[in-house]
Amino acid sequence: MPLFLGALSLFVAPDFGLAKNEIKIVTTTKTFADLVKVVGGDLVKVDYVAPPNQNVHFVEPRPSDILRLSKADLFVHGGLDLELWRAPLAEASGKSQFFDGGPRQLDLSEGLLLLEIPEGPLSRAQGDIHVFGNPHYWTSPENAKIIVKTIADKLSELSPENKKLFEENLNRYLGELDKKILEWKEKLTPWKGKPIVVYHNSWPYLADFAGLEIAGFVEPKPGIPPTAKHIQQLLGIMKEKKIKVIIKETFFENKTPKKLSEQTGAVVINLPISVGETKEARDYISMIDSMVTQITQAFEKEMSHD
Amino acid sequence: MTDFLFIMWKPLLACLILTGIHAYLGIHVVEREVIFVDLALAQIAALGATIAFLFGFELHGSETYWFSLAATVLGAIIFSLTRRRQEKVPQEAIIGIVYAMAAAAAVLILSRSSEGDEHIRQILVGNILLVSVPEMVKMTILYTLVMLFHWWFRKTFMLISTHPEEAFERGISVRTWDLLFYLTFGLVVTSSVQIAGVLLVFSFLIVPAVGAILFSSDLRVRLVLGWGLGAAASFLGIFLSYFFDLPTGATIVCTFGGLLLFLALVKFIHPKNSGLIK
Repeated sequence: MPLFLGALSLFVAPDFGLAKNEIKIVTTTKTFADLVKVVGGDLVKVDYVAPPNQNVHFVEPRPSDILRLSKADLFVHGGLDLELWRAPLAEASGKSQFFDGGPRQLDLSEGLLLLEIPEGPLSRAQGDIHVFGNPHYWTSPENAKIIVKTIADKLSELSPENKKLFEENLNRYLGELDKKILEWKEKLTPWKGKPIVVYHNSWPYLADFAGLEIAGFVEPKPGIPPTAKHIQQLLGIMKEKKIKVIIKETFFENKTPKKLSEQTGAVVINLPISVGETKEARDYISMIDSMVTQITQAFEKEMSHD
Repeated sequence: MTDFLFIMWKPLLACLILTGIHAYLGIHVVEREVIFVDLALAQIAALGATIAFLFGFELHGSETYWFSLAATVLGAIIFSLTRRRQEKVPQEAIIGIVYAMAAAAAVLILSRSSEGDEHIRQILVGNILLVSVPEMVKMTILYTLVMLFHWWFRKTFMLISTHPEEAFERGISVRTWDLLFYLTFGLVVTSSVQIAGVLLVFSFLIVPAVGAILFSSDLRVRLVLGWGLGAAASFLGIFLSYFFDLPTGATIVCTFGGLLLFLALVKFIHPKNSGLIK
């Protein structure tokens, strides 16, 4: 029974104790929710759909997600083909304003310089995955600066009387980010140009920011489990280029990276790609902090071995 | 309550539509002892979509649909050809082999193509919570046509499922009717899997039929009981999914399991109940 009451209260809660003029926002990921919150402050109430420890491409929304979205003022998402469940969720909410291109949705990929947009005539046989460019763009703090500006513009459009406040919040956060970016760059400088191996193709923006070279993927193609021949080739590349760091998300399997690590002495690090995925990644800045710390520690460890 | 209806009417209605046709087809499937045939046909349809994908067609485009349909027809032909009067190889074995081959072939094709198993998962993991109105309209039209067809030829369809030997003796072309059965069945299962996912479709197909067997040997009574059981699981599952905020498909599947367990207990305590409904 307590469980039942708990569930009931959960479902009543959204109507309780909220200021009337608060902007209700639903984001697809916790990372986006954090960035919306830093700009919106107390004037927004933000909920997110995707559990941080799951692959964001595949998420099964729950009834409460539809309910929250149907009552929201704004739907914030990653655009491109980041969330394969985005369109059906928007449709289930019953509000056409949330459909792609609608007035009450915000596509955070807008205005970003995207990587890996396929060139020339499209053919699936090229083995290229994301038709619109790689959608994991928030892993670069330089992109985060543009994202928060996009958010501030939209919030000001929805609530013009609070424009000044949003801009204050925005500028404060941009200042904080700029300071942190200097600090992160400084920490990463010694490892500039170093080759790394990543599990899934989620890290080109981080590599770009950190000045690292992605020399190989554990997956032969995005979504295809590693094959024996591919692992053999990858081992060859790792030995030839003396690659000592393998980066993966927490939710991919550990077996293959461990095998690679045993054969090459490389360090496997689990980086949070979403806020809330690990204990350290409490918010956007601490998430990047944790990425930078883990990367530098991995390289330092390698140095001490050599 | 209004919130509940607002969010859940579509999945609830979709579940009731699914119950309507699957509880019926389930009786055939259980009588024929081809329990996993829906999984095999869904996997073959997914293989068809994978091949279309390799040729560069969009996953939800009409070309891809025709590819899956062609693959389903091929599956239907295989299953109707492999049923023999004197059965040396059990048909369940053929179904299992077809399932494994189709799944593995899709992996092989995808390893040469692009977007990996991500898109195949989309075909086999429908999400009943996010079902849309156009999807429901399409599925209602298709299922009604199939139901009418089966109603028109109900005697023959039932005979070849329940007493194939008698059908052979009467000179009915069992192979042709088997083919018609698997074609219509494949058509239904392929589209319901895209909406509800393999687990849920399997439950809608098998659990009502099995639950009804406990209480009656009359096929018509079983059908009515199956509909009742399917509808009960739909209502209860949708309700639980909403109030405890759980993934809808999995909640309904477990509700089916719970209801079946309950019915088995009733049967165990009052064994003579089986005689009451005849």
